[in-house]
Amino acid sequence: MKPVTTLSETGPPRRPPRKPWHNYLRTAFWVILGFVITIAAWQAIITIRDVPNYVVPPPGDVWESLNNDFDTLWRNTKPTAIESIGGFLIGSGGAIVLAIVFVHSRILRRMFLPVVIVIRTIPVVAIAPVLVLMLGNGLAPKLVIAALISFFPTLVNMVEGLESVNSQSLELFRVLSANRWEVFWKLRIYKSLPFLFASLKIASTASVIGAVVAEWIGSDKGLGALIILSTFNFRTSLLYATMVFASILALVLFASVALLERLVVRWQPE
Amino acid sequence: MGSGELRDNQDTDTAIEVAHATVRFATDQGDITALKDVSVEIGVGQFVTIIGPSGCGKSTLLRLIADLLEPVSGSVSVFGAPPSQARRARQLGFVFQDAALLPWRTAIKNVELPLEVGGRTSRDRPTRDPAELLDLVGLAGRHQAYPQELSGGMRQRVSIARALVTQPQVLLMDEPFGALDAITRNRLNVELLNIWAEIGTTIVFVTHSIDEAVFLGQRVIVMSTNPGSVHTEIDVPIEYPRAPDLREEPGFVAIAAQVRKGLETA
Repeated sequence: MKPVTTLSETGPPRRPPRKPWHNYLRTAFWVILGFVITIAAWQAIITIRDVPNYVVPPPGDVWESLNNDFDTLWRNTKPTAIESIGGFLIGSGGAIVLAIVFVHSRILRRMFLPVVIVIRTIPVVAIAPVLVLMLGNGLAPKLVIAALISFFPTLVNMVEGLESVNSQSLELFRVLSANRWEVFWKLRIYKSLPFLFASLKIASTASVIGAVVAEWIGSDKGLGALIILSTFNFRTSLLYATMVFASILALVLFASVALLERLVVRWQPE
Repeated sequence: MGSGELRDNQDTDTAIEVAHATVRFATDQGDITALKDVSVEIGVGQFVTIIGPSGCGKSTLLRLIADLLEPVSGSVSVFGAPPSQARRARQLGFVFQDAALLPWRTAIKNVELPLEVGGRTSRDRPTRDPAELLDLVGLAGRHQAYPQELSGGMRQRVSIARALVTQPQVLLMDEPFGALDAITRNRLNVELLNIWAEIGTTIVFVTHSIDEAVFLGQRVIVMSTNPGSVHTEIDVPIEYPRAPDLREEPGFVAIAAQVRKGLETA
């Protein structure tokens, strides 16, 4: 009466079949067109309104600066990247650990979640000088600020994700006599991953903001320092080129997290 | 198959005994009595269905047996011991209304879940081969599929296989086919009876379909609401195996009418 099992390993593909390549081309076309129109509008406004170059540089000047000052830009990108990535890892890592603690101890959560939320309401630009005073001009205050800014979204989302288990799943694990450890590793962790990645994407770009802001306050290197330097020297083209680099750094971090998510979360969350 | 007569001889052994059980829930509006003085006795190897209007506590009764809830008074025993003992000994299988599969696990991995959790004591207990069980519930060829790639009926099949993997002596089913279309539901009813004939486990099946209750059960327990209690019990003296066209036969129709009257006065 049992069916034959020869077909048992031939499951369907996990994901829908890949889109044909010309679909990607079509998408790329519209994206590029969007950028082209934006840059054209930028040039047009400068020409029509006769905006001086030291106030808003034309796109061509920024392009020139990107080429001519590439070494300067690249040299200053490295410390900012180290601060952002380091801060991001420390902040998110700490947030994940604290979220796990909060989920397992209601008392600790009731005591310290309000403290965390109050600290969160202080703007980073207000905390940054305090930290520079405390920790000096080195790597430490930048790491701490980037970590702080990554910390909050990850903590809040991770707690929510770990608690997003429905009552039927919990009942299932109870019928199976699973202990807390098993409920955590076989259920809560997986439930939290989509939430975690959503917040990691936010945190990854926010950590770049944190590092740049920290560099404004006290640093002689990094993209933040370069922004201050080029502003005071009226090198507006370099300022814009620096912003382009900061934006690319944030995009690279974001894309890395998104790629990791695709590798880890291979199922469709309900 | 003649399994009907065989089982009738075993009715003397009690698998589940609920005696004068009362369950209350605390809510913001005060306590609600979900079950009041409920007594039910189910023999080893029996297939009993529970039917009643929503809010009559039929799911509560099932959760009482599964050790997911405790009575405030009265007693529940499974094979003469408290349900918690039966649960830890892996004697209970539970099938939930919406399958409750883990979406990050393939069908086969979902069936294997009970073998991965529950501590050392349960690991020495006899188990069934997950692949074989998936074949038994008609999912040969879909072992590696993720839940979202399966239809509602297929998901419920996986969840039945998962409940059977620990070889439970008691299978508790909470409206497992309630969300399925009529065709799938009728087919799964027949298949469930086949599985029952093969493994001979005690099954308690909650439903809100009269048709399903009479087609599956040897006995139908009709419950009434406010507070939840047992209204009547109706025997279904129809032999197994039962074929789908049984539903048109006068004997079946008469019993279904009896259940319907019971529900109307419930």
